[in-house]
Formats: sequence, C-alpha cells, structure tokens
Amino acid sequence: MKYYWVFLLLMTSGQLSAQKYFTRSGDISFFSQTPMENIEAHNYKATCVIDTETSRIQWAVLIKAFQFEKALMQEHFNENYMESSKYPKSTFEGALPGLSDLDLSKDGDHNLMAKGDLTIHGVTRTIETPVMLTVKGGALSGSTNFEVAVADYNIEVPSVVRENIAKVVQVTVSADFDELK
Amino acid sequence: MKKSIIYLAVGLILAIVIYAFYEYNRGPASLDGKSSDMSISAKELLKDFQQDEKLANSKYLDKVILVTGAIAELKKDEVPPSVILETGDALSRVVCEMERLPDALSLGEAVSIKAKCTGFLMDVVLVQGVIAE
Repeated sequence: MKYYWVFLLLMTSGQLSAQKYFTRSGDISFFSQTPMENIEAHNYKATCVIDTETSRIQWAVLIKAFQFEKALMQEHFNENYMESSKYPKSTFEGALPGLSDLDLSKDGDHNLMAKGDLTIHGVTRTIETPVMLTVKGGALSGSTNFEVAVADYNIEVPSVVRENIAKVVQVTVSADFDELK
Repeated sequence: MKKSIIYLAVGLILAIVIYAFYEYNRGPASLDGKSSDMSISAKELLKDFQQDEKLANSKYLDKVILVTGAIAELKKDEVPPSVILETGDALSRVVCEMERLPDALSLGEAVSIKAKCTGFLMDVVLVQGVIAE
C-alpha cells in the first residue's frame, strides 16, 4: 500500500509546478563477476519520483522485469534467489540532501549523496550512494552505482553455484526524468 | 560386449554434456509461438491491479497475457521499444516492453499484444511483448 504515496505525490503536484520529476523508464542493471562467469541483467521499467522541494526520492522496480541473456539464469534468479512471486518489487526510499538548494533551471552537473532505505527480497537496509545529477538543455537526468552484498538481503545461493555468483553485486542506475506539470 | 557398454556410456555422457551445454546457454524464449494463458483488456487489467494488487499478482504474474487496448504512446527509440496502452486512467497505464515493434503501428490504433506480466508500479508492466495477429 505504501506505493500509493507515489500517486499522492503525482496528484498533489498540480499546484507545485516544476518541483517534481519522475520517470517510468529508469534503467537498473546489475553485474555479478566471478572467475567462473559474468552475469548481467537489465530492467528498463523502473519508476522514480524526485521532489526537489523536500529533496525526497523514491524508486521502485519489478524483479520479474529484469532480463537476462540466458533463460536459465533468469529462472534461477526469480525462483530460487529473489523469490519474485513472494517479493515482486524492490524499492528505495530516501533523500538527496542538498537537492532543494540546487538551481535545476540552469545546465550543470551536481554531485549529491543519496541516503535511504533499500528493500530487496523483503529485507530493508539503509544505504548511502553518490548520485550524479545532470541538467542539460532543461532536461534532468541522474545516475548512481552501488554495491549490494547478496547475504545482506537474506538471498541464499546454493553451494553448487556459489562460485558462479559474486558475493557482492554491482548495481547501476540511470534515468532521464520528466518534469511533472 | 564390454566394448559396447563403454561406447554406450561414452555416448550417454556426451549426450548429457551437450544437453547441459545447450540448456545452460538457452536464451529467453520468444513468446511468438506460445499461446496466451488468458486475454483481457488493458482497462480491466489495470483495474484488477488497482483494486487488489496481491490478488492480481497471484492471478497474472509470469502469465502470458493477450492484452487489448488503444495505443496511447509508442516508444520506438527506446531499447527495447515499448507500447503503452490506454486504460482511461490518466496516471496509470499498461506498459508493454516489446521484443520488436512493427513500423505500421499508429497512435490510437487498437492492438492485441501478447506479453508476460511482471507486476504493477505506476503502470502494469509486461515484457517480451509481440503483436498478436
């Protein structure tokens, strides 16, 4: 039910012009590197809402929308590791301190630090990650990357494939935002 | 006699190795030849998710759905391309990430898309879409 605040945010935005940005086609990918094999998956349908007045940011992504190169990896990822039928979403809810002080009407690059709660596989942990926000030609885009330790989120990897899956997975996030008018 | 058993064993092991190799490297199957599990309008699909997301998840997740609606938006330049279907709701729509996009599609046109349902964020999100004939 907590996702409804996204709708609330969207709906109340009418009178507060240009203070919210959103995307419904954010790109989240992850990369697991081991001597045995490299595993990469992409999700191009993540949603994000940024409130530039309160500096709040929220991401949500559907686990089943991650696409792998190999079908078997995708099946194992969904069924065995992420249990995506039980936990269909991952979310990040947090803040980008300093965002409200920025002038996003001018072109430029801004380095901020995002801090908030990352929920994966039903486990919520506080993370911090550097975020690069870029304004170019009036359009806002942003990116970050951070590491996720698989064990931190109670994701169990069976011993037969333990050598094939990295203990720490690299996550890359990028998005082009639209202004909410 | 002994020799033939060895040949048989070697052949069997070879078959298993080849099978394992192909199974390991199998790409995601296209929905082209697959029949859909159910068909529904984009409007009804969204309504089900808005009313009871948990119930809708148990009903639609991982299912191949034939979803029908008018094209609200075409994202041809995105990789992969997407078709967004009209639902009558200004904020929430049905988004289909497509395997490929025919050139002939136009806005407002009614289409049926076969795709796999992954869940609900702002929109209902389906992947591996193909236009159904």
